[in-house]
Amino acid sequence: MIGTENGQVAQCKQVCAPVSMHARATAGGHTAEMLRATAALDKSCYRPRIYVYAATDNFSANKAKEAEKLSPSCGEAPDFCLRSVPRSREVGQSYVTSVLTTLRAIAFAFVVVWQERPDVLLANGPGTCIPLCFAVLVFRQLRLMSCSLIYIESIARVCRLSLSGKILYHLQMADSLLVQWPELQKHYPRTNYAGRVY
Amino acid sequence: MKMKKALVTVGTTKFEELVRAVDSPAFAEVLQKHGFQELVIQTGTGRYLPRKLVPHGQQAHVQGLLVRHLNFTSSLTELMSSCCLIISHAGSGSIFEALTCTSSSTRLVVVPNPNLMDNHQAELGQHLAAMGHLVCATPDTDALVAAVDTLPSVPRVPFVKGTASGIASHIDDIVLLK
Repeated sequence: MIGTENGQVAQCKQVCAPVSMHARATAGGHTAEMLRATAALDKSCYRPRIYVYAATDNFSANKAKEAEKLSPSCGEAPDFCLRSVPRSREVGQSYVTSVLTTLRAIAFAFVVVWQERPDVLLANGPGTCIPLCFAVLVFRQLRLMSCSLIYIESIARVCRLSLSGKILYHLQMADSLLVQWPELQKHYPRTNYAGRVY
Repeated sequence: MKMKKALVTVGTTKFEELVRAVDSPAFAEVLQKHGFQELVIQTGTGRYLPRKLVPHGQQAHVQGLLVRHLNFTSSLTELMSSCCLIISHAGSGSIFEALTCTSSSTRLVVVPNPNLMDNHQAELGQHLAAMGHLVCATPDTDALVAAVDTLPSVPRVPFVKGTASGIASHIDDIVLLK
């Protein structure tokens, strides 16, 4: 699996606009939203596509595989892969123990981002995506990679940003913070609205 | 003649308060009053089964109403599109599935789960209700009975599904043109 991934990363450097992405999700809803967004992208421009999922979330991993099967890429070899990282927190976990599990998730996120060196990180969902975002920002700050960071706020958010959305908004870290309702964009002027996934 | 069918769905997780709220003779009664012949309750991973309406097994007749329960189905979309009334948890996947796979004659009631972190499902349910696409209710028998009772007088505004193409071009603008 690792070998295959490395092969695909090498291939990605040959295309003119190589972009790998991280579809993050902890619950079914966020995965489905991310896959709606990635399905709308031109696959010939965005390859390889790297779907990062929470380690215990086989549901999301399978959904990503299914989505790729539905619209196969033109090339002969598959130009996507799946990678897992530990969760920052499980649904319902206390905020105190979340600190420890988040530190572990951050370490793994740095490894994944360094190995894949994506051109864009597409993130959505709860706290789980934040470690990947931090890894990208640190590597960017150190000028070790130039990776765009785009966060897509959940369609369920109409009046307030989620916690992940707020962190990225207030730290002004993302290249774009997309919201899916014009009402929400008005509350947070530095966000962008470009339609909905549903 | 096609059976007039109602569906209660909790999606892929559990929402026991919703199953408990519809597991009531008063709820069965309001469905019958509006001409429903069948009620399907999808319980997900929840342990609470609707034993007031279905004392044994998977189905029972409550006067003229056939009540069935199941935990999961692989064909939720088909089930949804065969129903005239869908009472769903307020997860975005289920809501948009129900809004897009049914005709405008199907009425939709969504019930946010108040136990989820900062009750985050309520925003979407209330917003879509304000837009006239559905009715938003609480997991409470009286509230659901009232919702079913008032539904026929509330017209459903058709929902136009987004395609994500705007989001894709926005990503292109940032990534491909940088």
